[in-house]
Amino acid sequence: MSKFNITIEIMPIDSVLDPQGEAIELTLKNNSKYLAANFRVGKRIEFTLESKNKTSCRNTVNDLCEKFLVNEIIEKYKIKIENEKN
Amino acid sequence: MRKINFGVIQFPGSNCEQDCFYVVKHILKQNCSYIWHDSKSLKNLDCIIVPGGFSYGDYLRTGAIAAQSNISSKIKDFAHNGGVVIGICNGFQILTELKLLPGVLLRNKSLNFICKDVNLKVTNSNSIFTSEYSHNEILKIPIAHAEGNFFLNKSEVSEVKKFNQIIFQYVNSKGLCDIDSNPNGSIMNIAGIRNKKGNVLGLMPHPERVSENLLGGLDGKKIFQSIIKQLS
Repeated sequence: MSKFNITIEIMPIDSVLDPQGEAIELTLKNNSKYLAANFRVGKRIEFTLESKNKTSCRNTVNDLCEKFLVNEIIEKYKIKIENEKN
Repeated sequence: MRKINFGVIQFPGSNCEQDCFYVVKHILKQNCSYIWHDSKSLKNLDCIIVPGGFSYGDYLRTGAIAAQSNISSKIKDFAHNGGVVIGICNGFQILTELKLLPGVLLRNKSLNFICKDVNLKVTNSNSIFTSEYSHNEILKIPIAHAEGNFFLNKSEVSEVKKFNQIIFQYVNSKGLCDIDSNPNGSIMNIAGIRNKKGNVLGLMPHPERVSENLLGGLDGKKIFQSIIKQLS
């Protein structure tokens, strides 16, 4: 078994209104110093997982996302898997 | 008439369970018990109430962690076997995370926690939960939530219309669904929705808070009375 470091980035899907992103954008519109736009606010989850290999690790993480960590009606996600560095 | 056996689920962070218990047990004189989230069984219940609150601190997504608890799989089995389930506020959020109801409750469009009375229309009075109301009856029931913005994807929108799943909608005092009477940005002003089979209801407003005159109204009482009538 190997130990992997997992990072999941979760974002609202494009068709979902993101009021947090809108609030940030609205605030910055009042400040002409920045030309920043199209804000979307998501979350990042980090954890470790023991698994046979990277493929089985990815399958487990996908399962975990679909069943618990992500609600795919409103969210999309990206998984990053790295071997744990000692 | 036999007494109906209600069960009110308690998660860490539930805070409306005593109000539900009080209405069912002391106003409507039915049997009622609390069911702790870690319980292994549901006993012999006729109806489950998933109450409001902030289960597990609303961490991850509202209702998401509660939906993974021991009792939630039992609630799912109970509903799949035709048992009557009603989820109020956080209870509604939990039932959507359990996939017993379509859609998701997002942050309110304004990002504010909103606590006020709203006008509701009984869009469908032909249900287990609303048979004691008349069609299009207008009710005044309080809401108290930060995540009540009901969202459906495109395929779900046509499904809920097709199966008459919309039970309550936010309206103005004349019964009109408009933007101004939509407190949280919910799609089609939806405040309450049932599953296709018709035995599971979720709603954001709190009927248990307007079930006796002393507390300012009776508009919520008929939901519980409808359930009792249907199950008797």
